[in-house]
Amino acid sequence: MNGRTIGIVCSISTLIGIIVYALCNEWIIFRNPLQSPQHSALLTTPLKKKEVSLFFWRYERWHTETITLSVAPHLQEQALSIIQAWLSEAFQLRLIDKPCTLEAALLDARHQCLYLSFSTVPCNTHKSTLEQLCGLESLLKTIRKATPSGIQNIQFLVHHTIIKHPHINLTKPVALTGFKILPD
Amino acid sequence: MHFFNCSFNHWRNLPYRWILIGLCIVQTTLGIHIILDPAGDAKDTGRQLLTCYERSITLQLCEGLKKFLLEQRSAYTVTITRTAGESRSQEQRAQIANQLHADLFMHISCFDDAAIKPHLMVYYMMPTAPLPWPTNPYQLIPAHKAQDLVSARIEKMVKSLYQNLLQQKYYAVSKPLPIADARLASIMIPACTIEFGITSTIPWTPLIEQIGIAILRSMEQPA
Repeated sequence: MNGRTIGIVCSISTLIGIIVYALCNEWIIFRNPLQSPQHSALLTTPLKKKEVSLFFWRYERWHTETITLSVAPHLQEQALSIIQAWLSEAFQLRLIDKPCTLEAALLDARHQCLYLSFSTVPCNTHKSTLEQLCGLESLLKTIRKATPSGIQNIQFLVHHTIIKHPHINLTKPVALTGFKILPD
Repeated sequence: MHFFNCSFNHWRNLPYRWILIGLCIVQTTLGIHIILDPAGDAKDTGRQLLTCYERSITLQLCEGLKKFLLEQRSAYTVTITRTAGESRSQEQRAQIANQLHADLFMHISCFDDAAIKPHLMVYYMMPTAPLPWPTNPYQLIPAHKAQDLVSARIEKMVKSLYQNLLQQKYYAVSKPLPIADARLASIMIPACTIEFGITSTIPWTPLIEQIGIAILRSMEQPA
């Protein structure tokens, strides 16, 4: 083989290697035009507009704020939207000191326990224990009034792990009826 | 006590020496053990207050409270779960309480209060169902149910503490609240948390005497 042939073979091999690498890392994707695209469940599920009441305990009484949300029919996605709206409002009202987002909401198989995973503890740990409990009670009341009956307990998590709260024991699921420290 | 101030010969001739001996025996056996648990430690500063952290105020209050209790009742034993440079986990604090078989475990906590009249709250562990005392020393009890062993005693003691704390005028005292208190988990003796607000206008030092008197009256009331 002369040098020219070797050069051509090497170039072709390099080109094939680059194409194979791009295919493996999905830089280049080949789609079969004969196969129909699969729509995701979210795209096909119609969103409904729903009026939701957000409850907050401030200045010794309940305050209600009604907002309109586009919610999916699935309970998990509903809870996600409602709680995210509550967290945004609670941060503005300074019930929580750091911005907090709901990372995930999952129901157990029996649809009785709702697991909520937050980015941070959804209360201000520098406030008194009573104020923190009132904040959590507000969240529980919002969920209770906005979602259909069936859910009995809420398990609070942070980054999908049990919360080690310095003042309140949140290692066990909390009843959706609340801590019974505030009037209904 | 008068008993110790007299010389031996004088004491021997006292007609009421047997009464004094009896009183001494009663007082030493009646010794009550109280554990004070200040919030925070060397690693955990606790809540941030206006000018300092929670751990310094609570330790100062506990030390003042210990001094007050021992001045009032020399037969009492008062233990503080930590010193200034020590670090204690919740499990270690509970172990101290359970192994010493104390009569009362009191967690002291404070927060920054924006109200004109600061608040004072008493919390105790939410009772679920009374649990009988384990007959087998190796029996495992869930940490969140440890207080159920003494739930009846706690409720009575907390009510008494609340009634006595109402008599002070500087703080707005709320009714005792049963909550799932993380600071009282795993404790098998009567336990409660006292949480008070710190303001820039009202000093917290008078609370030492108020809490001390409330403890003394609660511990000495008939069962």
